[in-house]
Amino acid sequence: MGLTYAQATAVAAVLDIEAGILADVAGQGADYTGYDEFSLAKALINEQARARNAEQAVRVTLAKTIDPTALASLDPSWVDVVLMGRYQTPRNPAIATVGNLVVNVASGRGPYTYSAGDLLIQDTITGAFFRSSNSAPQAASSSSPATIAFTAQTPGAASNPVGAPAFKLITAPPGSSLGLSFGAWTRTTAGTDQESNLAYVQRAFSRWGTLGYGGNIDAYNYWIPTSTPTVTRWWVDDANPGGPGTVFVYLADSAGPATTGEVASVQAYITPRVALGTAQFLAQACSQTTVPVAAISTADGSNPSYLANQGAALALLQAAAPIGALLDLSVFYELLRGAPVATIDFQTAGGGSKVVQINAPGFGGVTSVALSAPAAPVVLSANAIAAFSASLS
Amino acid sequence: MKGSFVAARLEDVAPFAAGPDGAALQVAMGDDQNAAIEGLEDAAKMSSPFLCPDDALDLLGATFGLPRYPGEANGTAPLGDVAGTGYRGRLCIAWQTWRWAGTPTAVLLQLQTYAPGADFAILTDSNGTWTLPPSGSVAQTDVGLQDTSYLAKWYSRFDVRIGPNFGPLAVSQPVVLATSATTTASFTMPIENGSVSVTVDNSGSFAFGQVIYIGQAGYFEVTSAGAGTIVLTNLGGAAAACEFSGLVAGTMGSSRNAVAGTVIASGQHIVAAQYLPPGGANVSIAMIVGQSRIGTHLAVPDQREALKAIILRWKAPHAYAGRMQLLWQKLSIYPSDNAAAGFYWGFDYIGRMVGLNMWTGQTVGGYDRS
Repeated sequence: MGLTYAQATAVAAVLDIEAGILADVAGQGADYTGYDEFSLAKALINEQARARNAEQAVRVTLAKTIDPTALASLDPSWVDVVLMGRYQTPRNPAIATVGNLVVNVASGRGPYTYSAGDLLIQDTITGAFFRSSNSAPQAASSSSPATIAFTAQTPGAASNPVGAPAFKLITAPPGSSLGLSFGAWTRTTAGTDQESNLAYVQRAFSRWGTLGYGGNIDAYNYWIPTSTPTVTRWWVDDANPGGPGTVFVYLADSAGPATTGEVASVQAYITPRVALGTAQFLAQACSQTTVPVAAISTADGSNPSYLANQGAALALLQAAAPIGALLDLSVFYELLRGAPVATIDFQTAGGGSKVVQINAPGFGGVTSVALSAPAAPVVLSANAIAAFSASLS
Repeated sequence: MKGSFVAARLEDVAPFAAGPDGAALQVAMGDDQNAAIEGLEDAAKMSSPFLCPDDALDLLGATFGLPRYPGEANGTAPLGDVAGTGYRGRLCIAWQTWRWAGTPTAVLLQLQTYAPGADFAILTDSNGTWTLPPSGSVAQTDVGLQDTSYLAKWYSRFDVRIGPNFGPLAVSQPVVLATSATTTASFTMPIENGSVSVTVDNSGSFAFGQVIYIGQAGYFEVTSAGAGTIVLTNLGGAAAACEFSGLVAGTMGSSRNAVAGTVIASGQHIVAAQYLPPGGANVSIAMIVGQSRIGTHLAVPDQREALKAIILRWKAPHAYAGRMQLLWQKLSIYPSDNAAAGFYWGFDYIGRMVGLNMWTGQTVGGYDRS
């Protein structure tokens, strides 16, 4: 073994590499110091130094793949190559939001029948487009509204409706668009971003646990997001919460507590894998706690969208904060002030801490923030996530 | 590494450029290219615990889910039939290690790696009568250690027993008579945590915060020491005795302090609570560092947390981590005592004892044990 890790992760400057080659030349009794900088010999050395500099950058990346922190900061293509090669588990892809929407027909209009793809609608709050994806034609009349499945056009958490969504019709088949309105939305699949580098690294490492004869906590941390990629947050209560031999897991997706389908998916995947002697394995949706967020900001006028930016930053926090997280006030201040926040290390009520990637891009224009709520750090119960009720001005 | 760029360059270089200066250039650039290939090979080998340099072990261990334990040496990789040693040796068998995850073997293996030489054992609820201290022991006769609520069957529960050899978890305490005095007047036992002034013949031996033992009375903490008088806080109740009983023996006949209101006659010996058996050399016991009270404990709070984390990490999720039992050797507190052989049970830290949940660091007898 030649290089230490520290040496393997250091890149020499081009000039230093050049100097090293010239020193080697000099060591053999030749002297190039008087050569014209534009001579062929100097050009050759310079070109080689540049190539070596680039090669060393690749070497550094290669070496850093053994550093969990550095690995998570590499280009995603590197992360994919490394984790697929070493852990044989692919990155979870982005998933589109799916939900059921009540489609009403005004009196005197219809009836209409819609097949998959017939309707294109837009969430007026988020701007996300959804197309009907019902598996069988659905009839809607003024007396009998239809419940039709819609799938977001763009995969990812950004398409998840927030609050009480309102939809408007964009296109419909000729002759079947008049008098349409949209009612209640029910989420069936949470839109989920492509698994972040950090989450992918953490999940891949936890695959070690699945090797165990008895399985351990790491195995659960691998099984849950692998079985159901839309479940992005979970807490394993392994303190026999339901009596001897019981294990409960609490689940959430990026939009809120896990859906019935997500819970069933996790339950079905893990049940045959638990150690013999496990009295009961129970997957369940976590609870949700409303957390008021009230802040008055002072702006310098350079960013007219700062309130929307603040709302978006809070949405990122809400989607990523772990179950049972301790939400420190500094997190709110940072996000509302527009600071870019890549990752947050949360303490959790269930024990320990968890680092999550939220990738808040940051924004400008806010010079100060007076946060009146929450007035103190928010301590969620061990099986709860937060839902922010924001009042920003 | 395959081949040599130096040789190839000298072989391929055109004759007009192969003079002394030209050849030197080719050698230097070939050396540089050779170094490049070696560097890339080294980087590729970083992911192998057999081949990586020492300064890569901790990072690699993190990717294996096997962090280095405090003081664990770098060690060597297995070679043929020779097993590996140290941290490197452990990483080289990561696959085998992880196969045991969730079993008692895994928990014991990790604990023994964390504290080499210490005694560890796992007892499950099906093992029988382990939940009670040995019959007739001070610990058993002390109500405080009879955790009857714990006797209920809980088949998925297990305890980890540590000792009597605590290995690196123990702290060696020299047998030094730090304080010696005698009471010169009777005094009345205050309530637990209550204070009392006691006249003594040698008040200069005491320091604020020191824990002492007074014959016929029990354990006290010194809150002030004046001329001929010391002011003490009564540490003893049943709960506090739980902490101390492992070191109490013989002449006092009980592990707990005298009942409040009891009049303690003059002429009682006072000794520093750190006394260990007379005649003994250094005796390894485990204590809470920074906590001046006598007792037999795991060495430092963060070690206890580390042990707890190891147990939680490697147990099967459905298994319930009950308690950490400390098995310590019976020691004497009073110089006239005999250092009787035998073992006492102590229950500590994982789970419940006398209605207390040590996970949460609740207090015992008004004192924070965490």
